[in-house]
Amino acid sequence: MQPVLDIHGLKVLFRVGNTYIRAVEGVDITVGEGESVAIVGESGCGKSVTGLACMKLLAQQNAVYTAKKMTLQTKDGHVHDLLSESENGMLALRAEQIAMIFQDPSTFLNPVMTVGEQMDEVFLYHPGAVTQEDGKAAHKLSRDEAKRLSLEQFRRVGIPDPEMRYKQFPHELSGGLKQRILIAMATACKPRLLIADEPTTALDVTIQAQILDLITTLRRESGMSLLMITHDLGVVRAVAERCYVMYCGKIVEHGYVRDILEHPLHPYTKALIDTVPGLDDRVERFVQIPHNVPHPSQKPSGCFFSNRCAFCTGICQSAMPPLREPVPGRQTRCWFDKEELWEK
Amino acid sequence: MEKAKKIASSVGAACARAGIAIGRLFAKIWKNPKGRRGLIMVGIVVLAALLAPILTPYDLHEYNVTEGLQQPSFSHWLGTDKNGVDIMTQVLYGARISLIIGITTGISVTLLGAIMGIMSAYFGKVLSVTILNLINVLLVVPTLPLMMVLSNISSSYVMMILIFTLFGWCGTARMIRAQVLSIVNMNYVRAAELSGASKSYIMFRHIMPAVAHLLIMNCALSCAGFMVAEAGLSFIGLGDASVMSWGKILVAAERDAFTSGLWAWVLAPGVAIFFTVFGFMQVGYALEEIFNPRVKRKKTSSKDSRSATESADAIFASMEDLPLEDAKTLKEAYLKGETH
Amino acid sequence: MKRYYAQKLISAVFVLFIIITLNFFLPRMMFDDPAQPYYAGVPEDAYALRQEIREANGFNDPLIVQYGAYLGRLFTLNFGTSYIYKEPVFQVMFSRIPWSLVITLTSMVVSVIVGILIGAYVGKRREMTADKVLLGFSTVTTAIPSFWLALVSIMLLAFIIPIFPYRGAMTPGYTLGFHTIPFLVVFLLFIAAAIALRIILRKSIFLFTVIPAGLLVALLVAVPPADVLDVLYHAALPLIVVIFGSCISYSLLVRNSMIAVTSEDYILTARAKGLPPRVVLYKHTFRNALLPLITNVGMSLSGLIGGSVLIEKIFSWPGMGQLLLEATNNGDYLLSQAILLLFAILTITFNLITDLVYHKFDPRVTRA
Repeated sequence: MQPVLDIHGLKVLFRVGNTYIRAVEGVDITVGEGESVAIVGESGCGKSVTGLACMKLLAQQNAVYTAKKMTLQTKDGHVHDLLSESENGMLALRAEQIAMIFQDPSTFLNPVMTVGEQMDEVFLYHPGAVTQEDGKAAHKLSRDEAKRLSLEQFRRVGIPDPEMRYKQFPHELSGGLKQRILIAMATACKPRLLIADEPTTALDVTIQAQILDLITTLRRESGMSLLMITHDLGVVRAVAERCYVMYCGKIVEHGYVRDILEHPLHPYTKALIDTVPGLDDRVERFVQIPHNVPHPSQKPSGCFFSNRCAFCTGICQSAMPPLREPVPGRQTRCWFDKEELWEK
Repeated sequence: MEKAKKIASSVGAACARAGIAIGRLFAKIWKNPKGRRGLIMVGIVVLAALLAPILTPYDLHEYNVTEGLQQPSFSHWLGTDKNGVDIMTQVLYGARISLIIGITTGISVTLLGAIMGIMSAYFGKVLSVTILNLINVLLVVPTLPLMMVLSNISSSYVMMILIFTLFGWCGTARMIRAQVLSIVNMNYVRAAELSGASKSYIMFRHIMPAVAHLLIMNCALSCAGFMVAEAGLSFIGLGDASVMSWGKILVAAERDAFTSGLWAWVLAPGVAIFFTVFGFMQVGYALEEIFNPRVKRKKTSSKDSRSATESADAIFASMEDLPLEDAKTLKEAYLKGETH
Repeated sequence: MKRYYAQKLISAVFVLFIIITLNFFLPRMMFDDPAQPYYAGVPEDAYALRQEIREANGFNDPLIVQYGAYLGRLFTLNFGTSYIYKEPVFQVMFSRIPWSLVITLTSMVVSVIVGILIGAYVGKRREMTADKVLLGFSTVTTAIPSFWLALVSIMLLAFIIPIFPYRGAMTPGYTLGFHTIPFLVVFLLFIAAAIALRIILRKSIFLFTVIPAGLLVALLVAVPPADVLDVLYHAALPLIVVIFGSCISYSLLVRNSMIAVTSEDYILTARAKGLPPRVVLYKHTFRNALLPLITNVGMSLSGLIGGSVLIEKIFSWPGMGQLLLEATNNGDYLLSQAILLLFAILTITFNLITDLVYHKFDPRVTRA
């Protein structure tokens, strides 16, 4: 079956002065219809860049990128090649087929426009996505129509007193409300795929749950696919079915969330899971992964995780292992099988 | 006696430390391309000002009307004015007053601005409100006209420096105030306060070092600004009548040079102002780059960009994974090697 | 919100009061005999007569009484008689304002427009040739004193290649024809139109564009075309010099804030919404990037009527700056007092207006 998003061999470089920083080093990601997929990893591992690349929003940031394949299947079943799609073509795809919400709601809303104005824009520039549902042909929306749709959308994402909020500026709203506004804008045209880039990181824990709940509800209502980018394994367990673990711009493990959380194959995944303190166990010391994520310009030779890995051997330092499939439906980027590792 | 010795030695040590710090700063400026350019330019002007009597055989007050209004020649490189005074000589001597005014005012404005800025930000509500209101008033006072009115009292250069300082510190003070306010709220200052450090200790150990770089940079830029201001004021006739200055040369040039076609007379003082001001500004920008590396503009020539894009493909190629088969043989070979 | 403006207003009144006081005491500190301007034609040695004049004008009263009287005169707009012009100060001053406006208003409008265009063009092309040219150019031009640039322009365009005149605002011997009634009619019409547009379309932008444009059109209507051409011909050089300088600084300002805004997160949101690039540029980038320009233009608006002392002196332009220079050089302190006061009032008013307008475009300020 044709997946909604199919990315093969995505590589991204950032230009800094005369040198390049390796951000993403060949990533394969697929998201099926109605599926919820997570990319998990520490900050600086290239998750967000991958998300932006899917939207083709990297163009203006000194980025150079390439991929073997990058396709998006739209609602009508047509498969678009994102790589060769023109900027004009992307304008129609963004928001209508593929939408994105971001990490910090306070900086991602324009401070000098009311949230209503910013919401209206989505409808004003994507009239086709809305009117076709009513069975009418696409036409230009009037401001009043846009406002009516905006208020309706505000209500759908659970914004209390939408009439009042419509006229307010972002700085007058709380972080949770701002994130709701961003979600409202992203889901206004009922996109086929929603990319959520750490949508709960900047929020309070109680608000986080509300936002995750909202995303899940919206997903269930419209049947859209979700690509959740996060560093939080709790979020992964809560919303995702399948999961990619990313480290230093490479996918190191892939499989169903339950399998990965219960039987991790890659030492990095295992380490990541161990760092999460459980509510019931009292620990003397928190489990840590030694050192930090290496800066993209100082990745170790061989396996990128070799300098922090407890099982590191000679081969790990000399060559990067390929992504292999030891168990059907599971992939890992480690020279050794689980048994080989654990018995060492 | 013992005490005096102790104080003397500690003062000496402080001076030595300050000297070393200044020396290091100059070394840093010298390493920056802009800074080096600026230092060389300023150095040339300083040398010209100091060595003016040696560099020129003429005297500023040697009138020789028969040789008035001469075109540039071998004996008078920039020509002569109406009274036959060599213009090159005037420009050289003019450098003195320009430098004196620029540097003294720059330093005094920076110091006053720093004191006012820090006081308004860190020493209580009353001082803060008073200084802020003072700044509000001074910012609204039309400075140039007021200077014109005030210079009626006395037109000596000391007066000009005083007026410049009195009206020029607001900008610096506001900048420093903003900076101090943001530092005071930093956690490390809070931590120092909580651990019982006194206000003056915090001021000298935490706040001063944090604003020092802004002050040094601001000083270089205001030196440049006040040099232009001095030339402007001299040009409208508000300078010291007894001293030669670039602005004054231009007044005479405006009167006599156009009709007699002595273009060098018009150009030379302006080029001198430009040269000096540009030098100081370069030093200022260099300091900005030294203290705040984020400002540093990336240098990418078109040539570099071409070579860079070519290597992008190579980097992309290097990201490719090993084919699974090769990986298998590699691992087997490795395992074999280990067992042996 | 209201408290914010009340605070601003109180502080403005306070500042104005200080400046009036300063204005009163300065001449009394500067001159041995502050009654000098009142002696017109009275010989040096007529002590008795001079004493009488001093008495009659209240110069022998205690300072505080004089101060009160000064305040009283200010409220009735009585600034006294100019010592050099032998005319009421008020009249002398206001006859000069339009001349300053010709230079300042024209140059401001032109350089703001050109500055925005250049800044936006360059800001979109960071680190490309145009950007490097602007940056290099601006570091060089900021070190050039404007009055010297004026002298060089005179040298080049009035002497070496004699195209433009460099002295005065009109050919000597001519005076400006001015029809007051058409001027008022046209200007009022434009003001009415601006207000109407504001009410109907609910865009304040009309107030700030239509009224200045109306002033310009009204001036063109009120003055005979031949005179307009003559004035423009004389204004060419000063305009070139002023526009050159301010154009570059505005371009740099717009360029810097364009670059800063382009990398803001909300621009990414706007693009992720699939908005066309032109909408992202005009509605999101521009609106935020032009905020610093508002403050900057607002601050320099007070200089519109004040003119530039240096430029007006060099080109013998009969504006306010030149008038102030004449007044100070001749000890006509009643005139310079009035001009200083006018400058101060203008600065305070325009700062207030700038705050208001800024708030219109950036709702965040009230929080600070």
